[in-house]
Amino acid sequence: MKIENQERKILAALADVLIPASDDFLSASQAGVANELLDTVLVSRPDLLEGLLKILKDAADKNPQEFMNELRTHDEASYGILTELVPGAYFLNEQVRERLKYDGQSPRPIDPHADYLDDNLLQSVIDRGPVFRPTPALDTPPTSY
Amino acid sequence: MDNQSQTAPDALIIGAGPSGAVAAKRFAEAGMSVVVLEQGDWPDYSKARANSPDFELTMGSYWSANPNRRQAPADYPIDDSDSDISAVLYNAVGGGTVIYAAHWQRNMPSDFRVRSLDGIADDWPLSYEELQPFYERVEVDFGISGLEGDTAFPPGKGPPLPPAPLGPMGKLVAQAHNRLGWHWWPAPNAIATRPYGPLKACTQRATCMWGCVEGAKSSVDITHWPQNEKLGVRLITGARVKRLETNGNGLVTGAHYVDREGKEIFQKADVTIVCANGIGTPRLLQLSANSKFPDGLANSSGLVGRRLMMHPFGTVVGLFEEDLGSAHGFWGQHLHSLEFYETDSARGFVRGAKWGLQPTGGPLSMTRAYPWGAENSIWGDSFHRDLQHRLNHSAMWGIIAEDLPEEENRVVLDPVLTDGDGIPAPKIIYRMSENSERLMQFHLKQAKESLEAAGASETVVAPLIRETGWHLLGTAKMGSDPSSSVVDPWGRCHDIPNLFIFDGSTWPTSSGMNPTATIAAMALRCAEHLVEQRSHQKVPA
Repeated sequence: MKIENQERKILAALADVLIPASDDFLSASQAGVANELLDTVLVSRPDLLEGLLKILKDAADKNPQEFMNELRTHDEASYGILTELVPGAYFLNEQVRERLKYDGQSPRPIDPHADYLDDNLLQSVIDRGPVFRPTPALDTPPTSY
Repeated sequence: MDNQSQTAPDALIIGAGPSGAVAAKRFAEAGMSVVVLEQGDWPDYSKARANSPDFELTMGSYWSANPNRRQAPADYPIDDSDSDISAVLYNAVGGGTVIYAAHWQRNMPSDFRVRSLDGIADDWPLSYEELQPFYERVEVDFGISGLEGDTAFPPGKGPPLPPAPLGPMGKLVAQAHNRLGWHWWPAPNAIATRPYGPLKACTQRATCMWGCVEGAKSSVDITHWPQNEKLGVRLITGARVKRLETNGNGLVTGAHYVDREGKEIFQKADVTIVCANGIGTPRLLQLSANSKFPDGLANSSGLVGRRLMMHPFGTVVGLFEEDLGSAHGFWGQHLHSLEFYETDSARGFVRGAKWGLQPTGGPLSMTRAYPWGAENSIWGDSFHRDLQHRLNHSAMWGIIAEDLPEEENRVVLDPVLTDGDGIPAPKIIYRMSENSERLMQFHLKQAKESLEAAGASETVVAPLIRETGWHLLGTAKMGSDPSSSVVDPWGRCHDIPNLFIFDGSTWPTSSGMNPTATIAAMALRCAEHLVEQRSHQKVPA
């Protein structure tokens, strides 16, 4: 289903309520959340489309800030769609990822150094002794089974 | 049309999760013929997205733990409208281990003696010491990482692989606990820290629950089933069992299942072992009611489906000035604490909880209502500041709270809801007890203190959410007395001598631990006994 330019404008305004610009970071709309990144997200999460279209229809001609406040307090499901879709798209922006120094869930091979041995950390635990209750002797009171 | 011409295998296992995998391996090694019916398919790791920018967006789709949300062809719906917690599980080869966090926790000795030590609930008909050799064996098979000598357990052999690194957050917490005099230990994980058999070494992507792209997580679709098939086990996927059949002698003769084309097939068996988890197992026993067993199979005690325990789950997050690198790590756990696991009557409740220290994930995870809470909304003018404050600067304790068995917490057949084959779906009825609520509040407070002592500038107690019923336990209780238990101490149903249950349904109490280690060890112990007693086993004519 195609998303019209007017709907994208509405989404851009709503998205900027959630993620405005700062000195160092783009706003959601500047990052392309309502444009190409929206299309990317909807390929990954087609389940968001139907709810999104309803939200955009309801938001037409309304003040974005007031509309978002209304959603947050009275329509948790719709608010949940926007608060998943907007940042989900925002964090796909390369410039944003670089600024966050986030390169995805990339591999970080394990350092073979056993850091739990540093500073004699474990000795303190060992010195405090066992912290479990041992199994009672076999002549304990009858059980319920 | 039933197929009556086949030869009965020595053992029919229903469910290809961890207990089914362990049992099938032992039976096959002993030379038994084994058929396994699994309603799911092999996990499709091509759908694991850790290498893709949209990982966090898609993690709740194919890898969702909630069958009501996932709605895959292999799933059955669960009516959880009368439950404080939603059940989460995975219907596939590997079962729950496909999506578990791989926290590999043995139970402590007191978990087997709750009645004797705390005067409530029940003792298990075995002790920690009896299970210990089986823990050690399954830890070799699963390729567990961890460190021998944990002061929360009796001495014994540790797991075969070295533990996960503490990492920056683990070190801060370890130092804090040493100052507080509180227990901690490098965490045991079912995650390979080095290449081990079919497992690759973990690369700390923190994606363990949503499709490990490395093949480093010890899920039994990797550690057991390929080897089991080489040993001759016949694994049939897409096979949804709808009913067990019994004969005039009160023995189970096999299982009726529906394949993916909707064809109903009868699989004969000499002995049948149900390994379908704490919901699937009582559901199947109830579905199998007949004129001889009108209340369901193995249910003369009336306890099939009752005493459901699901472990309320709590989370506390700490925010730190230091860069902890916590978008990555073991998810999994870096260390655990059992400082407050044992009962202290001064606290106003009995039993306790295990804590596991975990990373918090990537940027999208920093924006979600869980674990951050609606009151800590990130949106608007403070978004960028709060995001940077959280991302790579947060660590969280996951708290597994023991809940005690209560007969009113139960699994029943839903009168209306059915699965895709028209088979009645389960309904769970579960209320969190006052003891559990007190226990949770105490542990949340202590975990907050832990993170503050570690230097957290701020802590967030996550809201208790519904989709945390990972641990489905207790619905076919093990015991020696047929009037108050479903299976004997070896997993054999008191009422039906060739029907066994090897999964977490048999637990008399729930412990406060992630259960897979004990489920696997119990399955091996029960399987070993069945093999040893095979010559005396009653089978259908």
